[in-house]
Amino acid sequence: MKEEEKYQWAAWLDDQVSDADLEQLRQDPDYAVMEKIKSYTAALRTPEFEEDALLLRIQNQQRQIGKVRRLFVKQTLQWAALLLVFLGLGLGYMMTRTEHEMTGSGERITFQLPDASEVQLHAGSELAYKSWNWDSNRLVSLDGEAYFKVAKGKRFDVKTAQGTVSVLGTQFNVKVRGNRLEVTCFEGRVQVATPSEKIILTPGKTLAYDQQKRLFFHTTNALQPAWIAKELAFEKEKPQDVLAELERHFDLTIKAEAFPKNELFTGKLPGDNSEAALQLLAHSYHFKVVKINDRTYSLDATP
Amino acid sequence: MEDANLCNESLFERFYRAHVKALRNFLLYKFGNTEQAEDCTQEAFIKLWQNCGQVTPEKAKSFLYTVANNLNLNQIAHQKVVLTYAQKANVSSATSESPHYIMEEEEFKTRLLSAIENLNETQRVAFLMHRIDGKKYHEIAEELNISVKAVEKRIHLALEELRKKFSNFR
Repeated sequence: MKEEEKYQWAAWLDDQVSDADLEQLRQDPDYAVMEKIKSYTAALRTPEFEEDALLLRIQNQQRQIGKVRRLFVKQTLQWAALLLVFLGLGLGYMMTRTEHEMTGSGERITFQLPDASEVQLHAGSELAYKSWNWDSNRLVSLDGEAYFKVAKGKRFDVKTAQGTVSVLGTQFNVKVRGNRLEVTCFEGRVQVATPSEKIILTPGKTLAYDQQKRLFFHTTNALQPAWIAKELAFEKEKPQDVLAELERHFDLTIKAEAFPKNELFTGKLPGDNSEAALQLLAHSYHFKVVKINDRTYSLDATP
Repeated sequence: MEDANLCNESLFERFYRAHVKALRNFLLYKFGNTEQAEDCTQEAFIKLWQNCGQVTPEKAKSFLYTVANNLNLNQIAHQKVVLTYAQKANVSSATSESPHYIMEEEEFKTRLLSAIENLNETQRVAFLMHRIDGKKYHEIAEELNISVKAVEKRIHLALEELRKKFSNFR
């Protein structure tokens, strides 16, 4: 075929083909087939969809964005004046005040956010949020692991050093330890945004990153995070991260200099029995557990 | 000045009505999944609203497609394109068709749908934007941010690809 003839079929499909070219195309033994393709595809339709419902959802979002915009752009001056005259620094304090919730090793707390969303914070974790204007700015920052049951409402964001997890629905677990981020969605829909990608998780999906590189993304059949039921579940985790989790969870010190560094661990360990958990973990790497005192253990290679 | 851009709610709504169907169709061709197509459509319009001050009305359409195209939600496997034929889609509407002929035409239509599903994404998207949404090649080029020649190439290759599936159907 000559160069300028290359896309003749495209011209033909768009009824832009010259008479001479058309004559040539008609010689094609498949011309009748092409005609059929052309006429049948002209009759193709996509399924109907609810344009108005979608517009409503977009407008709801618009209102929120719109509200914030006016507040900050148009009414800045009035607000500043009001603040100074009537409320002074008190309101300023309230607006910028950040609430902190923290757990130490071996601890676990359950608390509510201003809109009655429930958070269970796993051991050795920290969560912060601003209660002022909470309803239109539902944002928490998290370092550690937490299980969220979010009250119905607007967008809810969990900011971590490794990416932002946005809730489009209701129940999910976020675990951020070091460079690793793991998110599991149990109900509704959750969006995870890292600097490089944006993914929506549907119920039963679990997604993990290490140093913002995707580790896995697949389906789980768990109905709640393992740690809620006093179990510790790991998937493709570095042994030292597993040990760190055990130290936090049971409030222990574990000495394990010789322990393997690169063989990733996948499995469940009991969360209510530190010795059994250590035994199980050590066993899978052919190590043994030596108890030094109530809070200190050492993992040694078996000869 | 404020009224000339899409921050005006009624202008925004007009713009939405003019483009929502085509955008959602575009995403549907891309993903083969209606739910995902609608989520992305929503997301793209919200992004447009958030940036309504910066995006001029002339640029809004290409902004919309660029955003939609960059939403990286590729985790859902491509499903059937879920297309249907409008009633009376047969080539000739004459009433004297033999049952054998009708059967053959139905088979042709079914195979055509599955052949379209099996096109690669870029070809399928360009091809269906022309066939279903009736867009001109230069419009498709603008929305996909490629040259008109590139659109023609995709369409041409799509047709070549489809015809292969009917080599025994002359």
